[in-house]
Formats: sequence, structure tokens, C-alpha cells
Amino acid sequence: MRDVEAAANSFVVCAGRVITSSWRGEWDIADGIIVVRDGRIEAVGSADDVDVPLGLPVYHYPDATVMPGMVAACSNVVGQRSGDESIGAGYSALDAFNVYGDYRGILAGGVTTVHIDPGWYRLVSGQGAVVKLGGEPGSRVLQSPSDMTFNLGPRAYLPPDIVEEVYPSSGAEPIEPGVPQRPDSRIGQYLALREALDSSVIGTGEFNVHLRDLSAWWQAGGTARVQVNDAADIAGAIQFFSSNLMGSPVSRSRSNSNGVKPYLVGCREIGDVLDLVSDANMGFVYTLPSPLGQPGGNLGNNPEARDADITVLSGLFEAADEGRVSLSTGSGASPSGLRLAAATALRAGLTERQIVNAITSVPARQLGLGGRVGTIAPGADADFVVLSGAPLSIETHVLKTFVNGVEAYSIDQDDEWGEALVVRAGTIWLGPNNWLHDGAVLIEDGKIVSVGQRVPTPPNARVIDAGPDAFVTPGLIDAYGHLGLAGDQSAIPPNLPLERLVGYPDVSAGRVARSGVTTVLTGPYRFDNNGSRIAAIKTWGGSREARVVNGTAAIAFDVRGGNPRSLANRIKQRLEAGKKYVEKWKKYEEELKEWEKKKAEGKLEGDAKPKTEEIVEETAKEDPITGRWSMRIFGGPMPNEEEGEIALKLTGSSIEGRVTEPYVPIEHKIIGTLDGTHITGTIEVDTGGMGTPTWEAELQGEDFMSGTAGIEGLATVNFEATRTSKEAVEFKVSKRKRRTTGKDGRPLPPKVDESLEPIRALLNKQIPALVAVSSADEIDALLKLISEYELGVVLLGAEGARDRTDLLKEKQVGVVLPTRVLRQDDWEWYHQGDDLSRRGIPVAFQSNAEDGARTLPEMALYAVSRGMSPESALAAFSVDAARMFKLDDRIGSIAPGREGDLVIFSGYPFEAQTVVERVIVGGKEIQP
Amino acid sequence: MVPHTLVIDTIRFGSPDWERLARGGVTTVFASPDSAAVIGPRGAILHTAGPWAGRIVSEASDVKATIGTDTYSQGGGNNSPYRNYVTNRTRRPNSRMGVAWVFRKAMYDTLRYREGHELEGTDVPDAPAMEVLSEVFAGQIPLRIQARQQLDIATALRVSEEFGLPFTLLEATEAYRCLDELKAANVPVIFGPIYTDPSGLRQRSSETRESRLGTITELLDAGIDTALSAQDLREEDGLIRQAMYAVRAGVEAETALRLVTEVPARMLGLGDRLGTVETGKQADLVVWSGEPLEATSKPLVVMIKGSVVVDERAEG
Amino acid sequence: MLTTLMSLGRRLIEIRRFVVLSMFFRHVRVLPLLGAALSDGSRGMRFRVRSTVGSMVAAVMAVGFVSFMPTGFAQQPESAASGPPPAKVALTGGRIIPVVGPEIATGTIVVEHGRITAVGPTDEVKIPYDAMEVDVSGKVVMPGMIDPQSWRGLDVSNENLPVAPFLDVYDAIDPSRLYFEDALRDGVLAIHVIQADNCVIGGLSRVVKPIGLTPDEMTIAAQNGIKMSITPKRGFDRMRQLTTLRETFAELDWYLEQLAEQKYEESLEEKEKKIDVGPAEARERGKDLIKDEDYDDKHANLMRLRRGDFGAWIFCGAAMDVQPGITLATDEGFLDNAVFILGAEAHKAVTQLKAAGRPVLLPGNLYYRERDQLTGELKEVFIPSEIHDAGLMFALQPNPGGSLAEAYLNYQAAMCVRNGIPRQTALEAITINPATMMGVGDELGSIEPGKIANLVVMSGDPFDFESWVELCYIDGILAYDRARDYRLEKQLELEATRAEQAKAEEDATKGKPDDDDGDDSAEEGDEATSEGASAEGSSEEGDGDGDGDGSGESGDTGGGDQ
Repeated sequence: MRDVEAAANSFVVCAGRVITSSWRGEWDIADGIIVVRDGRIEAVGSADDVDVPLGLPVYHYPDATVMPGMVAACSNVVGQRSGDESIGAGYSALDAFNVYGDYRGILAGGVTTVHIDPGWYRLVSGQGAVVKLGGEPGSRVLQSPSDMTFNLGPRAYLPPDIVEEVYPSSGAEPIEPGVPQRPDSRIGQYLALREALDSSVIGTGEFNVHLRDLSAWWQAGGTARVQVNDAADIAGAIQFFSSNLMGSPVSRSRSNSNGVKPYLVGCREIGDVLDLVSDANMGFVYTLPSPLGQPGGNLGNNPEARDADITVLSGLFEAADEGRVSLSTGSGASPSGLRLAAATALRAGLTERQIVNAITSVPARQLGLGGRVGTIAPGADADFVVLSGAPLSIETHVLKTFVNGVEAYSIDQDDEWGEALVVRAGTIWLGPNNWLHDGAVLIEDGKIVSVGQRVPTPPNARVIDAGPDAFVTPGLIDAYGHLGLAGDQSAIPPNLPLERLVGYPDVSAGRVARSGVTTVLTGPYRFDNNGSRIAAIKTWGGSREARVVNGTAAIAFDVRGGNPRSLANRIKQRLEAGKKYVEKWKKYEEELKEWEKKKAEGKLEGDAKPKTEEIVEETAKEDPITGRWSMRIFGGPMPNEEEGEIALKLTGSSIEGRVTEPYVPIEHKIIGTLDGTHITGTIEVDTGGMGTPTWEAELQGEDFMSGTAGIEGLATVNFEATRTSKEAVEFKVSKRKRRTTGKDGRPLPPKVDESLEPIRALLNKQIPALVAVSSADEIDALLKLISEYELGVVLLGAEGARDRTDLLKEKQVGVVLPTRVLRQDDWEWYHQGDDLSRRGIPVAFQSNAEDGARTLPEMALYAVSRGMSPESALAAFSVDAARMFKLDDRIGSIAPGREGDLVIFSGYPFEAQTVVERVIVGGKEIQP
Repeated sequence: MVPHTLVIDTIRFGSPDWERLARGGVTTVFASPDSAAVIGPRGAILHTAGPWAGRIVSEASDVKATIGTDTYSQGGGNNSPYRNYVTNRTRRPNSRMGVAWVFRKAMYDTLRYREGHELEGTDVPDAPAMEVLSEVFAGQIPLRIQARQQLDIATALRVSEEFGLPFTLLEATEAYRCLDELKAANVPVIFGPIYTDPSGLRQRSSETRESRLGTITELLDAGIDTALSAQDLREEDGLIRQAMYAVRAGVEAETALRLVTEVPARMLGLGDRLGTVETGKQADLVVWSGEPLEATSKPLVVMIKGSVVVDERAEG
Repeated sequence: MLTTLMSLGRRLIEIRRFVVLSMFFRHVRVLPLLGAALSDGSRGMRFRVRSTVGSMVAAVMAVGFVSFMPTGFAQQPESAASGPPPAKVALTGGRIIPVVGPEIATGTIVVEHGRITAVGPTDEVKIPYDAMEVDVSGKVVMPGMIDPQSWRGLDVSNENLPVAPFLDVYDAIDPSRLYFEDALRDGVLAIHVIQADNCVIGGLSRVVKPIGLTPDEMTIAAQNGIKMSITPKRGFDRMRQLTTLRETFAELDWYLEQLAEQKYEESLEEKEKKIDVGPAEARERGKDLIKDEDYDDKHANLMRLRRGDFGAWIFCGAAMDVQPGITLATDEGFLDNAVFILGAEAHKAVTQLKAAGRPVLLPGNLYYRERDQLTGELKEVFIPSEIHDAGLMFALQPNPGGSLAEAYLNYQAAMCVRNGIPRQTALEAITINPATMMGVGDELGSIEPGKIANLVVMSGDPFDFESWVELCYIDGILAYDRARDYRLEKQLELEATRAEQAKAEEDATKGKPDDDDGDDSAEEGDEATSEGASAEGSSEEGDGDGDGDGSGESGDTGGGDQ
């Protein structure tokens, strides 16, 4: 790439659709490119035709439509003039235009150029001008004066008397009474006009700036802007201004005018005089009824009064050539609503092209600026609008407005609505047997807000219109993978929350995400004997919070390859320990409830002092712990093996002791609980906020234990210890008193035991157990245990499931299919997914890999090729998988309240040619 | 009569006024209620910048009472009922006498309430209001009374004497006319703002015509415990400028500085934390580009609780 | 309130009557007093001070008409006619801020016949033997500050005529305005009295000093500038405003043509010839025949404006007014004499202003605040910084509607220094710059030999808000002495009392019982007390009234404001 420093107003725009409004060249370009240099358009065309110059920044709007900045031939940007003169040709609208003004309110409507007029009262209200609403103050005025504004009809009638200030006024020369002015009637307007033109040419003997300016305009053959609405005035105006009736014989003979160029503005009743239109050599600006969102005025009792009838436009467009009619909002209305008001002209049967031209290139030409504004063509000013969708769709919004190649408005400036995304597609798969054709999904702040044939489109929403062929499904779920483990093969203990592994998505997460898999149930490769946590993690997202669906979505055990009964017993041990723990919490919760009830009733005991309970200290006669242990520490981050000493004492099931650091005689308190042969506990060292070190050991035989110690997520070391003495060791232990209530008698919660927390969730039926099983025996043993505790369970692998289908169906147990999905039974090959789903057992797919999950969608194809029903395959990827892990209220289907995770397939997902086109996670599209 | 309401409920932390105060070197503010109620809500003490959670020093501080015309002239003014024409403007008080009566009635009600009597009648104040006023009587909640004109200051002194209520006098525009009385009553004064031509709210009030530049000097010379406040004024009339005006009126620069630091901190009961640069005190500091009271100086760095909240040092 | 208003009104009427009377009597009664005024420059002050509204009645009772001179009695009444003031004064020992050139730490200024003749370090300047030496050591001497535009000297700020170049503030300056006394107290020794902005083309302005009995006496420079407003007058919109401006000058051209034709015809008639050429040729030939007196009143001043006889003070209230103003001034040929008066937002057009390269007068409120219409974000701009960065010459004006301090010009300048503008620039913006803009830059605005001796002696640095204006010299004559400022004393009652005590003690120790000053001060002290009791509060009502006139485009009379 060339090293060119590009000016701010030089860049390239790539857009999904470019409407040029151009008379020559292409009008509508798909995948268009606009090259902007120094605020002007250098080139425009489709991506194939235009070379993107090097060194210029490129802005991509793949879903947007770019159209020229709209041109409002009528506006209320400057107000009415206050001068009383009926012939006020000297007034200039430009005087009242604030070039420093902030017109973002109008730019937000996509209008970049407006005509300003000096008002619609009085016969000649003055000189108009054409201005831009953005850009440098010095460059905003495009043309001034652009025309002379005439107003025919009731608004011109009955002007007030003119009072000239006379100097010096005295008794001899009093201030004169006001001079009456014309016109009072329809016929009077033409008389007044002729009079004015005559006297402007001949002179009146007195100086009058208005007649001077009228004369100058007339002699130069300027443009006449005639604002008319009534049919009679339209007819009169056409005749007066288009034929040689203009001016009286006097003025015609004495002027060297080339003839003025008129155009009519307003034209509400033009439907009545269409036959005059076709012959008249003039332009028409039809002012649309009040823009959307404004209530109409009362019509009152006048039977003549009627609303503007937009259907006359079909006749008008027929009568006049296409290039002669433009559309505009009324001069009393803000032009910000121009696009929507013009869109209603679709009712009159006009085409999109006709209407878009009528608010861009046609008015530009009428105002004498054709080729410069109102079109996207080489040489034109880089004024254009980035729209979220089709230009005349009600749901489309202006995203950005550029003036002279500089962003003059951007919807991001207003963050009131947060982020929003609308996805439209031919087919949306909401859940099993629930297809939505030609529908849309609105996602706001990462959550699906609305689903249906039509959804609201907030102004700032990004719109993805995937097209009629597209097929949208919920984000796919990998029911067991290892995304984020980065090759860590160890069995991760249950006290370690896996969500800590999650951060900003890395390369492999991106790979998986782009494949359509949006959620992975991440677990370790091997499960700890005491179970390991499984975390539901999204493959994409800006932060850990956004990515973690549930940090503990399941607790996983492995009961494969051993005596099924003993393995099940091991789980049982954990469950028993967990049960006690749950009991403690239950007790606490009940106490708390009671306390709160009491508090609410105001029956708290007077001085609710903290309560304590004495802990009875029982020393076991012969215990496997008490005594001194010599310790060896190794592994982990330790460069060398080191030795140390521990002194421990067992009281009930709780262990207390001191550990002496190697080399330095510093003792740390160490506590733990003995559970069977398993010890878990903490070491009380001040680590400066890094976390509390924990230790974990397994008694192996007499007087020997081995285990790990360390800080969660930071570092872990291994240790082994051998008991050297069985004497009870006395410490300086203060009398153990545990506070059971807080300051005001509020019960205190029990200590959180991270390793038992998942078990608690399991016992509380918040999460299932994910159990790796293979044989039917294992399934039997497991299910027996499960029914004893009434737990939820998901089988992982479960190669022997076919033999226990009835049992599984009865217990509503889901199965995560093994990676080797084809099984042989009686020399007959069958696909497990097909087999189980056919028998009514929910299944899910697993990758058992990190970024290997990217090929997961292919597995569905294979399953369908092997006879699995497409609905079941999709369900296995989404709603069934989510339900197994009790995540179906968050992910797995497309419904309001669910996470905004969508996959857009180019077509029906189970066609060979279909690919994943786009993936949306949490309302954000993953960039390819 | 609304002493049980709190100003803190109406505070808009997003208001640009906070930033402006901070930029002017003000680190702590007593956010006071306006003067529309005879016995108004309780003010709050806040820091002007820093994390929102840490800004609140006191959620419910002094009760602010007002004696003067503001209580019935601000807004549309209070009216007496006219036939069936009753609006929200139809209420007491609508005269100075009425103001004093509302004040007194509140005090009597509180006394009765404290003695355990049942309050009867149609015009019975809310119990929470009574609770707050009881605490005011008990000296647990400080009371401040805004009075500008001489006669209002006199009323405030008289009423407080009647009920044995200690209070802090606020604004005290015409304090120069009753120095002896103030001295005798040993009333602390939060004086200010200093002006000769009233602006803003005060322009509309008839109470402020007699303002004098030298009043602050007289208060100090009389030995009255005085702090200086800009009240609702901002910008060029802000707090440090008030001190500057005081210097123009003849106050020693050092004393003037005390009037906007040490003294108000003490009056707010925060003398042990704020108001001076001393070891152990909260690090609310302002680094000025020159002498703080010079017209050409401005705060360069403002620090609240030791963290920099304003840094206007020029780059490079 | 009502009664004080009424009494105030009565007093105002009385003042005006007495002014007229005193003007009538001045030739009879004033001249004998001049001797006293000259022998001691400060002597006249007692009379001036007594003229305050509060002391009026007592003063009239005690002294009679003559002592009731509204302002600046020390000024020689007939200065315009009877030559320079016959006095030589030397201010010695003070720190001198000459504005042009470096400051002098300890210097002497010699004033002869109202003009500065020498400035320099004390040891270098020779003091004439007959000069009255005034020791100002420890004090700071600076040129008199200049208020670059004020209509507070007028009874009504505008005539109700859109185009009125034939008006002159000369006819409306009210020397009895308390505003002039306040100006003196604040060290403002020259005031550009000009119409307010509620006009299309206003009348002629005048540079005055805040002392004198008549506009003539007060005048420093007459017919100094003309007010023009691009921002619409009340009831006008911008289209009408600008059309009216264009029309005025187009009509002037038309008038000139007619006049030229007429003059040519007249010249032919004189020669008894018949018209021999067409109208266009006649106009061309008649052009040179027009003499100044041929213009009618309506057009004369516009012609003089085009000719550059005086400057145009063009008010641009908004940024969008600036370019039309520059265009108009360029088209009509008076850009070189134009000063642009900026409104709150007009600094946004700084690019255009810079291109025009003309000096600008900044609004009283130096901060511009704007809220973004979409985000609600508040943006603050310090206007002088924008203008200074563009390299434009600018002047400051006081902001009486703002804070207490903003009413002082020197504080406005101090505010500039606070916001990063060099001290020298800020000083110039209240002295030499406005003088240059008014075309009196070679007479006023700095302490240089040859300039008019308008000097302010301050107790400290002008940018210290604790500094007070101690003495003011106008035309080399003492016009203000803080020690005799009884109205200020009232504001600062205690301090004044202290000063008096100190003085009394001093006098006692010096043991000069016969000292005139001592007697005077005692006497005046009594009066001050009595008036304090009798006219409580009314003086400040009067003050407010004086300021009320200046409330922008209100155009109300002082009384009507209340």
C-alpha cells in the first residue's frame, strides 16, 4: 500500500446498495463503491468496475443503502420575513440563514441541501437561495439569489398599508398615513405584478430598492419561483409566467429580458388542471401533505376544504416528463421528514426510482444545481446518506449523512437506544417444527426483543437483510468441548470455576464462532474424581461477563472403565458431603427467613447480640491425621523440590494445623476438612489480594498423603507428606467460637465451599450432572444413584444407551452423542443420534475439542445423511442441548428474552451447497 | 413545613454545575434547599467530584428554615382562598407575620409532640417532620435560618430565644444593621454572597437592595463567627471570588481564605476532616496558578480525597 | 418600595432642575471658586462628592445652587473655549504602567497644561519648579481606562427610528447621570457614548470624560462614530434588517445621482444654457459640483461615513451577522474605519473577522456557553482567547449585568490574564485599544509625553481585585480622590470610619488643629451621618436606577425600568 496521507474528506465507501439518482450511468448499483476525493465524488460503480485507490480509508456498509443527500425544494429553515411590502423583491432569504447553524436535526433526515425562501406571504416575498446544511460555514451557500419568489393566492391578499418613515417630520411634513398596497383579489395579483414590473423598468421617480431588484432580476432573466396551491392560481400562474403575457407591453418592449424561467411550488390542486401541465414548459414542486408524525389541521366547516390528495401525483408524473416534477415537504414543515413523506407517494403508484429522483436529482436540477448535488456521480459533491435499508421503507433509518465528504450526522451520536440489530430472512427456525417465513428478529442489547413477520426497527438499528433464501437458526451449541483450555489436559478440580479461562475471544474462539457454534459447554479433558465443573461459554463477546452463560452449567463425573458400583459410590460420597453442605445452607436460609419475618413484624429481641456457638472439640482416639508430617513440595512453578513440615490435628472432621515454610521458620495456619480420605482446606497466608491458597490431599494408605496446594487460577504445586509422629500437637489456639449471627441477630451464612458449590447446585436441581458413561451397566448403576437423589443427569458418550432406551426415556435423560457416532449392533451399523432421537431421547452433539468445534455443523449433515430427521438434528444443536443443561431460558431458541445468538445459513442448512453466511453472537455480528 | 424531606433526593449528580464548582476549586458543598419553605428540607454535604458513591459526606445535614419574603413571593406567590377558587397557591403564609406564625406553630407543635400530646386539628404536621424537629430541639440536628433584612434577622433571633433554639444565620445581607444583637445572641453567620447590585434570584427579591460591600468586614470586626458563601451564585461570583471581594472590602487575605475553608468546615461539623492542610486531614487540595485570591489566578489542580479531579495544567 | 420610588423620582426631577439652574449661574458663581480648585487639586472634590443623590437636599440647603454641581467640579468649565488648564503637576514615586513600553518601577510623570510632558524613572525626570508635586509612592499609576461603548450616559438608549444617522448623542448626554460618577470611581476616564444596538443605523457618538457640567465640557472627541446593527432591531427580522441597510446606501447613491443632475442643471441655469446632455452624462458632470452643504441632513452623515470622517461601530450579535457586516462595510467603503461589536456567539466567525482584520469589541460576558442540541453537552469558550489567537486587536467592556467584579474593566482584563492572555494584551484592551478604535489613540490610552493627562492612581496592581482607585487625574487635574468619596464610604462604612479615625489620630499627633482638611472632613462626616439617617436606602435605589438605563436594548427611561 502506498504511504499516502489521505485528507479527511477523501475515502472510499463500499455499500451493499448504491442509488445514484443519476440520469446517465447506472441508477441502482448492488455492492457499489464510491470514491470520494477532497469532498467530491471521483468515481462510482459496482465493485467489479471501480478500482479502489490505494491509500484511502475504506468504510464498509455491507448492509446499508447509500443514496444522494436529499434536496428539499421547500423548507422552513429560515422564517417569514417581517417586512410589510407586497412587492418585497429586495428581501433575501440568505440574510436570515445562519451559516453557523447546527442543522443536525434535518441532516438526521438525510436532507443535505435545501432551498430557503423569504416566506409565503405577500405577492413578491423576495429572493430565495439554495444552501447546504452542513460543511464549513463558508461553503454552505450554493446559490444566492437563486430565484425570485412569487406567491399567488390568498396568502398574497390584503397586504397592510406601507408607512414610510419621513425625515424630517414636522408640522409641515407630518408622518404620512400608510400607502395602501395591492392585491386584494385573484385578479389583482396579476395587475399588481404588471404594475410592479412596469414601474421597475420605467421608474417611479422615487428610489425603491425592491423595484430596483425586481428590475435586475427581470432583465437578467432569472428564475421565478411561484408558490401556488389553488387550481385557479395554478392555471393563472402557468399562463402568466409561461406565455409572453409575462409583463405588460411596456415592460416587454423596454426590457432586454431573455424571459424568466418559472417553476411552480405547492401545487396542491394541480390535479384539476393537469391538461395545462403537459404544455407548460416549467418544473413543478409538489409539496407533500404534512410529514408523518404530525397531526393534520382541522378543516372546519368549509365544504371546499380538502386534504392534499397524493394520488394526483400519478397524473402529474404522467402529464409532465419525469424530470420536471419533484417532491418536497411544505414550506412550513421541517424537511427532516422528506424521505418518509415522499415514500407515501408509493400510494399513487409511483415507482421507487421516480420518487427517489423526485427528492434528489430532480429538485437539484430545478434549483439549478443539477450534477452538483442530488446525485452520486463523478464530479458531484460527496453529499450522501447511508440508510439502514431500502430508501422508501418506513422501517429504514438514516445511519450517517455526509456533506462534502465529511460526516455531518451520525446516529451514533445519540446513544439513547443502545445497540440494536434487526435480522430479516426468508426462513427463521424458531424451534422444532416452528418455522417463520419471511420474518425478522430484533435484538437489543444482546437479547432478542421481538420476533415476527414484522418487528420494530429502532432508528439506530443495524439491519441485516439476509434475503429470501436465507435460513436463520439459533446459535449452535457444542454440548461438550474444551474451548479455552489451550491444551491443558489435566483433570480440573471442582473448586476451580472454568469461566476464569474466558477472556476476550482468541483466534480459536473466532474460528469456532464463525462456524455457527455460539455456545460451548467447556469442560476439562479429564474429570476430577470429585467432579469437574462444566461452563457454558459463548464463542464471542466483548468481555467475560458477555461470554459466560453459566460458569457452572454442570458438574461432570467419569464412571467409565472400572467397577461401576464403586465408581458410582465415589459420586455418592461427594453427594453425601454435598448434602450436609446443602443442609447447612438450608438451615441458614430458614433462619434468615425467620429472622426477616421477625424483623418485619418488629419482634426482634431487644438487644440482638451476636450469637456464638461453642464447637465441641472431640479428638479422635486414633485418627489418620493428627501428628507431624514432613512434606515435599514439587511441580508447578517451583524450580526445585523443597521440603517443609506440617503439624496437624484432627477434631471431628475438621483439621487444623500449622505449616512451616521451607528455609524460613514462618508458620502459617492451615485448616481443612477431612472427608473420607480426602482433605480440602485453606492456608491462611496474606497474599495481598491474590486469593486464598487452598490445599487438597488424598490420604493414601497410612501416614501418607499427596495432593496439591496453590492459589486458584494462579499456580498450583504438588506435595506429598509422610507422618513422622502421631502425637497430638498443641497450638496456641484461642477458644473456638463461631459467630452464628450478625450484629443485629441476622443469621450468618455458612462458609462457602467452592468445591461443594457445584454439588449444592446439583442437589438443588439447578444444574445437571454430566456423567461420562459407556456401557449399559454403567448407565444402570448411575441411574440408580441418580433416582436415589432425584438429580438431573446428562450422559456423555453413552455408547451403550441403545440397550437402555426405555429407562432413559422414562427418566428423561439426555445424551451427548459420542464423537464416534456410528455404532455396530448385530453387525448392523447405526447412527446413534438417529437411533436415540427416533426413540424420543434428546441428544446433543459434542466436539470434544477446542477449535475443533468448528466442524460441528458438518456432524449434523452427516447425521441427516444417516437418516436423522433434520428437525431433530437442529434441535440437537440448539433447544435440546440447551434444555439438557437447563439453559433453555437463555439460549437454544429464537424467542423474546433469549440471547441474541443467530446463525444465518445461505439456504436450507441440510443442503450440500449451503454455507454459514453470518453469525451473530449477543447481538453483534462476528466479522469474517 | 417539610424538614423531614431531604435535598439529597433531588441532587442530580450529572449536572455540569458540579464540574464547574470543582473547576472553581470548591471541593465540598453544603447542598442547600431553596428558600421557598418556612422550615425547609435538610441539606446534604457533598464533594463536588470523584466517584459518585464517595461524594456524599452527609445525606441529611442541617435543617434550613427561611424567614423573609421568599417563602411567599417566590413562584406565583401564596394567596388566600377566594370563594371556591382554591389552587396550590392557596396556602399560608402570605406575609411576614404569617411566616413567623408558621415557624412558631411548628415549634409549639414540636414541643407538644415531645411531651407526648396528641396533635389535633386540620393543620397537623406529619409525624416524621415532628421527629426531625424534635431532634433539632434536642440539638442533634443543626438548624440554619436564612434571613436577609434586619427585621427578619431580628425575628430569627427572637424566635430562637423564645424556644431556646441555637441556629446558624444564613445570608444576612443586612447584618451590618444588627451587629450588636448578633454578637449578643452569639449566632454564627454564614454570610454571603457579597454584592452591590443583586443579580439572578436576588434581583427579583425586594430583600436585597440594601446590600453593602463592607458588611463582611463589620461582621468580622464585631467578632462574630462568620463563614463566607457564594450561595447559589456560580461562575465569576463563585466562592473564591467571594473571598476576593472580602479582601477588597478590607479583610486580610489570610482571614478571607479561612472564611471559605476552615470556618465553614468547622460550621458543618467537619473541622476534623476538612478545611486546613494538616497531617491527618483529608487531602482536598487546590493548586492555584498564583495567589488564590488574585483575580488573575485560577485552580490548576483540584484534588479530592487525594485523587486529582481537575487538572488544567497546560500541556507541554 | 413605592414611596421610595416616588421620592427617588422627585429627586431626579430636582437634580435636573438644579443642573439647568447651575448651568445658568455658573458664570456668576463658579469662577471665584476656581482659585480654590487650582490651589489644591483635591479641593474641588468636596463639592463633587456632595452632589450624590443622597446628599443632595442637605447640600442644597447648606451651600446653595453652586455647590450642587453634578460631577467633576474641578474641571475648568470653559476648557474648550478658554485654553489649557493652567497647572503643572508631577506625580512622583509610583510604579508606572505606561501601557506602551516597559513598566517603570519608581517613576515620575510631569503634567503641564493638561498634557503629559515627561515620564520616566524618578531620578531621570526633571520636575519643573512650579509644579505641584504629588507623592504617589507605593501606588500604581496607569492611564485612565476607557469604556469603549456605553449608552448609560443617555436618557433613552435609542430613538424609535430604524435609520437615523442624523441623530447625535450630543443632544442626549446627561451629565448628571450617576453613571459618570461611578465611571470615575472605577477609573474609567473616557467613555464612548453611543447609541444601543436596537437600531439599523444609529446616530453619531461622542467620546467624553466623566466630569463636566455640559456635554461640551465633557467632550473629548465629538462625532466620533456611528452605530450600525446587523442583528435585527426589535420587530425586524434579518431579511428586513439587511434589506434596510442595503436600501439605505442604495438610496444614498440614487440621491447623489439626483443631486448631481440637479447641480448640473443649476449650473447651466446660472450660465443661462439649456440642458445639453442626457441624464447619465449630466449626473457625471454634476458630481464635482456638489458641495458639502448641499447634502441634506438625512444623507450628510452617511456621506461623511463613506468619506472616512468617522468610524462605523457595527454590532454583530451572532456569528451569521459578521460576514454581512464585513460585506456591507467593504461595499460601501468604510471597512477601514469599522469596529465590530461582537455579541455572545459572534466569535464563531473569527475566520471572517481575521480576514477583515478590523478591531473588535467583545461582549461584556466573556464566556460563551452552548449546549449541544443532540447530546446536551455544555461547551464553554473564553471569547478573548479565540480573538487573541486570531491576532485581532480587541477591547473589553464592563459587564454590569454580570458578577460584582465584572462591572470593573480592570477585572475583565484580569480575567483575560487568568485565562492565558498576556498581561500586556489585557492592559491594552482596556486602554490604548479602545482609544485607537475611537480614533483618539494619539491622545489617550497610554502614558506618553504629549498625551492628555488622564491618569489613574491605584492602591495596587490594577489586576488585583483588592486594589482601589485612589486618585484620578483628568486633563492633569485631580478629578477623584477616594478619601473624599462619601458614597463609597457608605458602601464600606466601617473601613471609612477606620480611615477617618486613623486620620484623626494622625492629625492629632501632628498637632495641626487649624488644618482645613481636618475641618472639612469633620464637617462632611456629620453631613454623611445625617443624610444616612434621613435618606436611608434611597441612594442605592438611585444607583440601581442609573444602571437600569444600560440594560441593553430596553430603551426605557430610568424610572420606567422599575
